[in-house]
Amino acid sequence: MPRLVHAEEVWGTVVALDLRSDSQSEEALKSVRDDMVSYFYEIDRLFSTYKPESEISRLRIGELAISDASPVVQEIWQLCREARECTEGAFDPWAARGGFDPSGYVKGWAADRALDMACKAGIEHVQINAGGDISLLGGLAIGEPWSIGIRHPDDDQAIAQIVTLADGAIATSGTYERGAHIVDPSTDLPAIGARSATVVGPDGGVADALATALIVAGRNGAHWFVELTDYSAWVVDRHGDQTWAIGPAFS
Amino acid sequence: MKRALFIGSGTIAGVAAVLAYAPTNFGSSPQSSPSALPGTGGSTTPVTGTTSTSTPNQTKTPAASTASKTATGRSYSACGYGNVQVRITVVNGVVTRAAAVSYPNGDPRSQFINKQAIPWLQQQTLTAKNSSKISGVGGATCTSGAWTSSLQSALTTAGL
Repeated sequence: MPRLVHAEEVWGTVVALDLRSDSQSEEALKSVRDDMVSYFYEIDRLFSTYKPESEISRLRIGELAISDASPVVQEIWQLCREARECTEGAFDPWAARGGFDPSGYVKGWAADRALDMACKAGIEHVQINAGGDISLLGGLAIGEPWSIGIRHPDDDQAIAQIVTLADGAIATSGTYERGAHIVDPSTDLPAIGARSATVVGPDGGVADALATALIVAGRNGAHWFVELTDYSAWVVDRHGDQTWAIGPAFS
Repeated sequence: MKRALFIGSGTIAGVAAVLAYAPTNFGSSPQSSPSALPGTGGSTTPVTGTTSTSTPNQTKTPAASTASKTATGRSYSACGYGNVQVRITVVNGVVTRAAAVSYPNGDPRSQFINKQAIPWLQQQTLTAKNSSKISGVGGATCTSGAWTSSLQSALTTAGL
């Protein structure tokens, strides 16, 4: 089976691609890979908070109004509002230091769009791993779901959980990440709700937002999943070795 | 469908809060102070209510006991969908089950809620697992060292 693996340093992290096809040639895989990588940079130009000329940077300093922003930026703005509401404010890109920062949502959202590109090109099996947040298509082969290990929060060489999934997204947030940059919007202090939170569901942007929000809210966020029946969570408590899980992916 | 879920999330907050905050009453969740969340207006009332009203129907016995205990919360209006009342089971200070003893009936939406409004938090101890058959690694860090390790691991094992 033709297969192409690629790693690209973009979005302030490494995005790894794993493309496999039962029907497409290696050349076709390369062509899609190139389109996906171009798309990553296009997203970076719009949303990077490190590039002063990006629309997000200009929004943050008040140089650009949201009503004048690109349609895709406006769409993310709206999706972030919904995610903020859904998580009772625990996910709040507007509370970020320096102003609106949707990075936590955009990575998963854009990975899904890249997944769509591969799907439209007829590639059956795709894994996109954007800095540990994963979007999946079609299993690793026909009838074989992807088997994704979730790193242990206290040991980056160990796997603490395994998620088996053919299609969908797996997002993990943790306080172990460099800079522990997840801030509790209600206190403006580092979030202490959980040590690690993994969310599995159909949409990468939503999964990213929920994982971040669970780091803030901890067990208080469990009730979000009562309504979000397509989403599941696996969470390591802030202290100790207790974990809890909710939803179909972990039942 | 995703959009519909988000829009509906506010209406069920009352139902869910009853379940989600139940552990607080038994001290099994030290970080879960209801006031720590910038809750929406919709969820504030039930949260407060739960904290203060689980006492009347409580059948909690002293903490030293290892027996399973149950406690039933007060009935709350589910934002126009009817009333919800929940009974929890507590073992050694940990909520092991939350079940609705009464809930709204009638419209399909309420029936949907009924089916789902019984979250069972599966509790386990954190352990390292056998990673020999994985085809990817999630939750890798942004730090380059861990990233490289995870990436290598993902790429290598993906071929299995």
